Amino acid sequence: MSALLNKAAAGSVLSVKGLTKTFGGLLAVNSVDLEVPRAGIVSVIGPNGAGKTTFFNMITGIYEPDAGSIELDGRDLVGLRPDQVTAAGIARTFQNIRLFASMTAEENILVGRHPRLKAGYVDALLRTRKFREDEESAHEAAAVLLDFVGLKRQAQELSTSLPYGDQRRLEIARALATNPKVILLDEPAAGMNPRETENLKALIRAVRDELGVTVVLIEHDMRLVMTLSEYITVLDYGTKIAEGLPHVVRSDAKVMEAYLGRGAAAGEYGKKEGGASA
Amino acid sequence: MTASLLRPKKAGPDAPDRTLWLVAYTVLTGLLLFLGTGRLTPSVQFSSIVLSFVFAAFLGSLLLAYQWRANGVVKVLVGVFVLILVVPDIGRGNGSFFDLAIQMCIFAALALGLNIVVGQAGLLDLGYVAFFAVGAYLWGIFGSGQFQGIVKSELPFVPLGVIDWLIPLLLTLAGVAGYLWMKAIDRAHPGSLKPKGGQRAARAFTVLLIVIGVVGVLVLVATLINAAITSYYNGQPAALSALATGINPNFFWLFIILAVAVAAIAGVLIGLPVLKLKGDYLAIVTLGLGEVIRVFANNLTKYTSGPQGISGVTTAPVSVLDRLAGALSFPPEQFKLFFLYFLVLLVIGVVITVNVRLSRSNIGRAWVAIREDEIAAQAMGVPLVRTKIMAFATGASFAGVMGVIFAAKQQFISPESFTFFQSISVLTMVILGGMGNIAGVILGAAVVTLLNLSILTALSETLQAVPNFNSNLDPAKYNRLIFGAILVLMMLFRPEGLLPSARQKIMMHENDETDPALDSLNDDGATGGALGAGLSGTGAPGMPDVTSPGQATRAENTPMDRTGGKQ
Repeated sequence: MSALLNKAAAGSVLSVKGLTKTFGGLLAVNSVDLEVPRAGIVSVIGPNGAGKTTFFNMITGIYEPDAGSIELDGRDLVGLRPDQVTAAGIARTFQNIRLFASMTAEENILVGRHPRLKAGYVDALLRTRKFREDEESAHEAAAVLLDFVGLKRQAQELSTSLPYGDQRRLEIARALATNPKVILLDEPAAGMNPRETENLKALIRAVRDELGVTVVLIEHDMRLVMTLSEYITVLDYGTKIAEGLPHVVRSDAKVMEAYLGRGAAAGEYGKKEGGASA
Repeated sequence: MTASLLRPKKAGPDAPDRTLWLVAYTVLTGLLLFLGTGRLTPSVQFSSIVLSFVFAAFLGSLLLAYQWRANGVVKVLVGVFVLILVVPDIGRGNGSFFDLAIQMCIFAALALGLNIVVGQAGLLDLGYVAFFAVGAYLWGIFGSGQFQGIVKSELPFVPLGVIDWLIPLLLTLAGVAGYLWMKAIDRAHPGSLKPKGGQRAARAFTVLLIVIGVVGVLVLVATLINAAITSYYNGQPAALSALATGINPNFFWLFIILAVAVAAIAGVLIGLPVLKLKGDYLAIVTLGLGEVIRVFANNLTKYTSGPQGISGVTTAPVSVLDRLAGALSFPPEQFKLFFLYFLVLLVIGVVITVNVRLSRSNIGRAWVAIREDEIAAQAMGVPLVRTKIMAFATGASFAGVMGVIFAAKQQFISPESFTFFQSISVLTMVILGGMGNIAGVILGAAVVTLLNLSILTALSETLQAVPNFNSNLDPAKYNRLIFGAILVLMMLFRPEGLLPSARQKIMMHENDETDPALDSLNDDGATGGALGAGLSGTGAPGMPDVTSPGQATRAENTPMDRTGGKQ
């Protein structure tokens, strides 16, 4: 454990400190810290309404935090627009799939290449060499990514006509197309059957192992979280209540309380929860 | 023609080759047209209403050439035959056909521009005709005696006093200083400026100061330029009297280019404040701004002659084309139409090229992405405001160019030509033809213009000729009713338009499977939403579900607009 923590301190790619957000009187996220080690797989878990998605939305620039700092490789991201955050190297997927409905799988990924294309308006009008090279590289990248997530044959299919699990994979591929350093996955396994979840697990590992992209997960599927993550942060009511290695978090009394309620955590259900997530 | 409209699917490679049919159709309708206009035998002439339909049917051959699978060379030949040979020839005998063809091209370009804004980027713009007006007045003022009138009028106030300049400059400086001061404090002691709302208000105030100051300086500069020009011409009576018919007509070419820039700038200026809005809200604001431009035209009497309008707008003389037209025995009064017709064909070629190239590029993809899902588009690195502004400015520039040509063709412009109804007609063309599809939009423009200028008026004439007929029943006067009915019927039965784009067709088809009645109307962000709301009468919320719990769009550069879902 200490080795991993040292690694986190030494080479964190994403470093969040004291992030806070209030909506009116509601303290949605309260001074949360998160250190994400380079090429790690880190999870943020917590009961519904714990502030996980708000936390993601602040990192990706959709909300501006009331306080705190977000640094990607030492660069401060607070105050940047979502598209600037993406260009800086943080990509994301959404809790409810947000693919571009009228576009094919390939076109969805091409949109993801947008921040990496240099050709501008005039280049597109005059079909300059820069534009042609850009388009070619974008199509190549799309082909590689479609192959990577196993959707090569579905490239020309309409994104919304793909099966649910494939849509999730396509969304990950679209996020990867932006060449991120860190990819934030917001409940990628939601609504998946066990087989699809297994495939997803392999895909997330491949994202880290083969592409070297750091993964931050929000997930409710405890089996996935416990087997996949190297480090877990637990939020409840906007506050970090626990963090550490999976087996440490799993047996943490506060975490069980947050998930199952006071009392239950100490009794039978605690064992059941532990069993289910093993 | 109708048969193919019902089946708008573009022929695939396995479709039967219809080269012969295409040639036969074109030749047949061409012959009918020649017969009808009395060019074959002067003794036979069709009535105007029949002739209108024959002309429409003849132009339909272009549509067939586009739709059918046929020999490529033959297709090009049909295009050349129709556009370059027959239409000018028919126009020689009957100038109204020339006029009609030019109008069709003008509106096709307008519709193509609006198609980028509404069809591709999904921004419902109800004030689009404002940019058309900008182009038209740009050339209208300089290309007619109007400019002389402006210059002749008494010398305007000359702002040369120090105080005149000091006030706006000080305002600007105060605003900049305040803004930077707050930023410096914020950087030195983050979070010390509280409450956050007050800080935002203060920042907004400094921005307001800067805007007022800059606008003040710009107004002063414009006044100074105006004064300089006026005093120059007043010192040179010869130059002044030469302005009686406007500036040198050869500047027409420059003004075509200028109109692109000016209309695009107008698009950016109007777009910047309003493009943070979405759907119905954007529609209402653009409607208002469109009216503002018309009201300007109505009230800036010194520059625009107000409701009287500007007459005597000239065109560039093109002696080569004039001589050619003369050699082809065109009457001299048609030389101008002859020139404008080919100019308009050229411009529409450019417009189509620009349209195609942009839509098949990362910019076009970004537009569609924004239309589909703003939040996801932004998360994929698409800068929302900049991309939307590009769509707005591109659409506006098409309208600007055609405004110049429109002013030159009509020789007369007045605010009447740039009403809200015009914006709606252009929108009708886009929807009727098929949102997002270039060929569809051109078809829509052609159909609406034909109905408006040819078929309905011819129908009126025919009906008026019937003895004892109720003279109140004049179809040309009911064009709004007819277009309203067309819009309603299209939204009900064929929301994707006559020639839908592949995307639209797929979208509409998808919706059929889920909830045909609701989705086809409420779908597709701004456009479908607003129209759906308008149709349902109750103003049903046409906004798509873009803000899911915990996610809200963040308006670029403004700290304000962060409402939306809360977690």
